[in-house]
Amino acid sequence: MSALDWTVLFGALAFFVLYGLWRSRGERNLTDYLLAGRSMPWTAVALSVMATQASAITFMSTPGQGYADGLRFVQFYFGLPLAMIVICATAIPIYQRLKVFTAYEYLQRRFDGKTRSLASALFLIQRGLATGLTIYAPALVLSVILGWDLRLTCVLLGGLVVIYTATGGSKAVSHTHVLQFLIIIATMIVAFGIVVSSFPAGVGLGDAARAAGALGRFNAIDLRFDPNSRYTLWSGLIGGFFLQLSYFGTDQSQVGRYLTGRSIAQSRLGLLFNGAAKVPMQFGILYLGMMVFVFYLFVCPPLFFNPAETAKMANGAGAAEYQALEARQREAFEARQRGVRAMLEAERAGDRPAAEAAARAAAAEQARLDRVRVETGDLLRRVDPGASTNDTNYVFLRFVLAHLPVGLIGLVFAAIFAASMNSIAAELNALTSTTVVDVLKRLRPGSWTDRADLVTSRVVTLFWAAFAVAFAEYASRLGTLVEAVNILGSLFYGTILGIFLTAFYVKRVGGTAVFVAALLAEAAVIACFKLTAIGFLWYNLIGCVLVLAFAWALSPVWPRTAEEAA
Amino acid sequence: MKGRRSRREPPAPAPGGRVARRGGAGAPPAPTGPREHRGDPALPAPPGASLGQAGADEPPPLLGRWGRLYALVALELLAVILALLWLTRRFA
Repeated sequence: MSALDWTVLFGALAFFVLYGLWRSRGERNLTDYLLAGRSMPWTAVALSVMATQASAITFMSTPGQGYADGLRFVQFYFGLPLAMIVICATAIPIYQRLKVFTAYEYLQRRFDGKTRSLASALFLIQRGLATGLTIYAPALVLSVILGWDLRLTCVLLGGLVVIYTATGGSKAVSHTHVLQFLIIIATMIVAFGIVVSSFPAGVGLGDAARAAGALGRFNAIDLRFDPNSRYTLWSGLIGGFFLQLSYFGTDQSQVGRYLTGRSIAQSRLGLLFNGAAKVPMQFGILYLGMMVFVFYLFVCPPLFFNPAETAKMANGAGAAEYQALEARQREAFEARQRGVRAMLEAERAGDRPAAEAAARAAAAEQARLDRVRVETGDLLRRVDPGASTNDTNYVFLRFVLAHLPVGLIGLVFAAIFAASMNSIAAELNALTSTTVVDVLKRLRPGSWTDRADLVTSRVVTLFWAAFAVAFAEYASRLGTLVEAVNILGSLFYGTILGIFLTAFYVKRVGGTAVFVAALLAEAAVIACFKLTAIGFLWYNLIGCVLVLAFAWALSPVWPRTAEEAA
Repeated sequence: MKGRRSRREPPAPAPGGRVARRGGAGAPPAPTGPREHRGDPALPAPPGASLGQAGADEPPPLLGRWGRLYALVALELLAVILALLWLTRRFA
């Protein structure tokens, strides 16, 4: 990167932190610190909710997914708008009227202390580890691309966030979310414009769509009902609905965002805006990746996008084989380019049969290129069994570094850092809320002064930031445990959602029945994970339905007590 | 606490999803119950809404005043899916 890019990057990072500190003045009590004084307008709620969900990986990995796999990932979000509607109708009025700080606080009011403890403990374990990964995943990619030390990158990310999160709490988090998210979206739009303007003369957006479609990238909707296929219309609508319902309805990192709304109406409008904007936004990011793919139809791409792995090949044991693969890639790339150009010319001339023949030829060359990429991955693994053979996270940033103008490169990297900071800040704030409200205040009941509340909350935020950075530091050594942490979330979300839906809708069920039902449902979900090949998204549905069914069936055995109903 | 927290509930969306001025054209009927029934969190829970009873810890009906806005979001999703289906068939 040039000096201007470094200036833009570090200037932006310093600006984000100073802005967060500036907006963090005036915290007087726990409501101010954990829920921004319940004073946010719906616009801030909406952008904060979107910024929390869209981490750095969203903006690095999603374009890479569009490049490698096309648009089908957009289906993952189809359940989100429907989930927003259900949450607006159920969770928001309840949480806001009861003036709870956390979603789990409600469970004690509706059921009992042990159900609250179960849900909050599951959240703290899962989110505590996941926050470490929220730091580690982008730090890994950024350290490789920028040539930084991984540990220092983790410390930088965590350190920048904790400055304003610990000082200003939720208000600082919400205000920086708004600023950072707007910058991220503006940067992505500019990047999109530059990608499209970099196409060869005469190739427009329509041509790009036709070329991407001919090569299997325009695959936004898959109508097949295949439970083993991860992204279809049905898995997105049904499994995705339950996943998003659980994430937004019961995960404190999101609940804490919309509870900052100054009224039920403001919180609702914020979530409904998210429901309306999320699918188009994800489609736009995937489309950007697809446009990068079209760009590389006319400019030969790197054989493998992860520079750390390809560097090992330069003088290593597999250097000769790697060069041979590069030669094969070059040959297939040239042939594919000829096929695409012939197809576009035939389309313009109205010669349909010729266009179809050229498209088939280009698709055959694409298949050759795909085989070369698979063989490259095999070679990397042979030379280094620990090599990472998935390079989708690197596609967009390699493109940015090689083809975007000076200044904008720094801005894109600043946007990626901002996205990472957004998610980390919201997660730290949620972990603090749950630790203080659901753990510490219950362990030591009594009257806490506002000062004690604030000091404790700040110390807890610092603790979770240190924990997350420490976990991120060691994540690279944990190997498969990293994957296990990701799976952990999918395994528990459905069960937690089932507890909440039972609380909302099944009046006759009491605390003990739902507690036992949750344990049984969780065992069933884990059995599904161990014994079947069912896609992850469906675990959310299975866990949720089983909790509802078991709780309803067990309610005659352990009926709702008079104390619970009082 | 700053004055914002004690603000009254903003007008609910009018039919068609637009936010109308209270009592203005297209506005929903003005709420007649006590203020807390309009959802202002700064106010105490209604007397009959203690926990475990109908009220504070139970969801309101889905098809309330917000039903039209919910329908609008669902319709937008349907439109997006149909548009993507058309684009997929057109270009794939």
